[in-house]
Amino acid sequence: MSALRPIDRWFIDEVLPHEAAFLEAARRLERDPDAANDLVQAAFVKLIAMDGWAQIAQPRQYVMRMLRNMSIERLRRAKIVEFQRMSEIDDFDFEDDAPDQFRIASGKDMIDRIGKALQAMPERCRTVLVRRRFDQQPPKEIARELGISLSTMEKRLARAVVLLIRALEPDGARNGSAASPAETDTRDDAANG
Amino acid sequence: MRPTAEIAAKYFHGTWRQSARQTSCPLGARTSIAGPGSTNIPNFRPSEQERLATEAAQWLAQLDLGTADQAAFERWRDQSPAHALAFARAYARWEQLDGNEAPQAEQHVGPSASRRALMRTALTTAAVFGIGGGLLTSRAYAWDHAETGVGETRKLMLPDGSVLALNTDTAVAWKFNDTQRVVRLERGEVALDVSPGPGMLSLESEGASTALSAGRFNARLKAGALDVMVLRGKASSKAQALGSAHAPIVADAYHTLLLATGEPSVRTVSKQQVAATLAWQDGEILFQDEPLSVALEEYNRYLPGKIVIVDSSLSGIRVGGRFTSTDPSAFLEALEATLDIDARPVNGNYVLTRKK
Repeated sequence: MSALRPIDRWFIDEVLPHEAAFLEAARRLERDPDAANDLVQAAFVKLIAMDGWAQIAQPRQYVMRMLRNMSIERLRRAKIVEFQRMSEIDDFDFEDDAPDQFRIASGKDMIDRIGKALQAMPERCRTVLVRRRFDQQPPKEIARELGISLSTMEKRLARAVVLLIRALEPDGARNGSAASPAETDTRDDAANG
Repeated sequence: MRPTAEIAAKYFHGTWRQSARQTSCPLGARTSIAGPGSTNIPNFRPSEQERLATEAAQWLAQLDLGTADQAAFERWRDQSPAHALAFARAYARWEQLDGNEAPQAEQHVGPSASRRALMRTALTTAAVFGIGGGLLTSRAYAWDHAETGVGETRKLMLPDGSVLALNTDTAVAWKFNDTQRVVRLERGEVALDVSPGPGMLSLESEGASTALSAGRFNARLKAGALDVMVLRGKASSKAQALGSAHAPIVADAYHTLLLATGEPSVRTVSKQQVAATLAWQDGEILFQDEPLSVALEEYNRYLPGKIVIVDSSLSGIRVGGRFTSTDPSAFLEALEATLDIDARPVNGNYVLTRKK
C-alpha cells in the first residue's frame, strides 16, 4: 500500500511539470479558455489511468499530440464542423524544442511563488505546514506545543495544502473562475477566525 | 544432408503483427489515445476540481500526520482517474516545497542541508511505502520486491525514476535510499533503464555484482551466471570478494559482461542478439537460424504448457522467425506447414513428432 503508485510518480515527474506548456498549446487549439482547461484536464485524467505509461519515450511530446488529437476529435463530433479550425489544428505544430529551458524557468519561478504562497497563507495554517514539512516535527509534539488536537491540526494542514495547490497553479489555469489569491486568503481568515 | 529448412521470418511476420496490434500496449498517438468508448470529453467544472483538490489535501494531511486509514484512502483514490489526478497534483505541490526555506516571518530556523536531505529521503520513502508518521526507521531501508509468473511481464518505475521491466518467471528486489541504489536479480531476466543518479546503480545476483551507469541494460540469470548486456552506458564488474585479484572489467554499449564463477568476461554482441533481447519487451520472441531444441528451450520459458520434442532427429533443424511469446499457435502451425512436423497437444503440453 502506498501513497504514490508508480504511475503517479511518473505523472508527477514527467507530465505535470509541463502543465503550463500544455495549457498554452490547448489555448491555441481551443478558442475558449475554459475549453482549453477542460482539454488538458481530460488528457491528464486519461494519462493517469493509462496502462502503457512506462513505454512513453517522450511524455511531453506525447501529451502534445494527445491534446491535438483530442481537439480534432471534439471538433469532429461538433454539430457544425468548422473547417477553418480543422485546418488550423492541422497546422498546429508542437513547437517543442526547448523543454529544458522551460523547466529551468519554471523552477525559478516556482521558488518565488512558493515563498509568496507561504507568506499569503493564514498564520495558523502556515505554522502547521512549516513545522511538519520543513522542520519535520512529530505531529504529537506540534499538537502539544500549539495546544490543539490532531484533528484540528489535520484540518489546518489540509487547508494549507489547498492554498498551496491554488497558488501554484500555472498562470491562466481556470481563468476568472477561481477567486484571486488575495480574496481567497481573506475568506479563509474569516472562515477560520 | 543437414536439414536446413528455415521457417521464413517474413511468413510469420504478418501473422504476428496482426495479433500484436491487438495485444500490445497501444501507444500510437492517434488511434489509442482516446481509448475505446471514451471519446467524450467530460466537463471538468472548476467546482468539481476544487472539491477533489480539497479532498486530496485532506488525505495528504492525514497521510503525513499518520492518521490516515490507508484502505479508505485507496478506495477514495480508486473512485475515478480524476480522484487519482487530484491526489497526484496535491502531492506534487507538497513535494515542491523541498529545497525551499521556511518563510522568514516564521521564527523557525530553516532546516539544515543534511536535515533537508533526510527529509527528502523520508518523503520519498513515504511515497514508495506509504507509511504515515513514524516512517523513518521502520521500512526506510527495507527491500522491495516484484515478481512475474511464467508468461507474464511487468514494467515498473523505481524510486529514482529508473524503469525496470521484468520478463517471464522473474524475481527481483531493490533498495533505494540517499546513498545507494541496489537492484538484486533473484531469478529470470530484467531490462533496466537507469536514470542518472549521484552514484552508480548496483546490480547484484547471488555471487555477482556489477555497477551500472545511467543507460539501458538487459540482465539475465542463466545457470548461475549473470549476463549483462549494455545498450547504452557502461557496466563494470565489482570485485566479487574482498582481496579478489580481478581489476574491474568494463563493458560499454553493445557488449555483454558475463559474470560467472571465474573471471568476468566481456564480449561484443551482434545486432541480431540485441534485437532478440529487445523483442521480449514487446511480447515477442525472435529466432534467427537456431536449432529447434534451442528455440524450444527459449519458447518454453514463456509457456505454462511446454513444447516437447519426442523425435530427437528434429532437434537440429534450424528455425527462424518472430512470434508472440505467450501464444505458440502460429509457431506450431508453421512447423506443421513448412517442416512436416506434427504438433500434438498432450495434457496441456505440445508434443512434436515427424509426420508419417
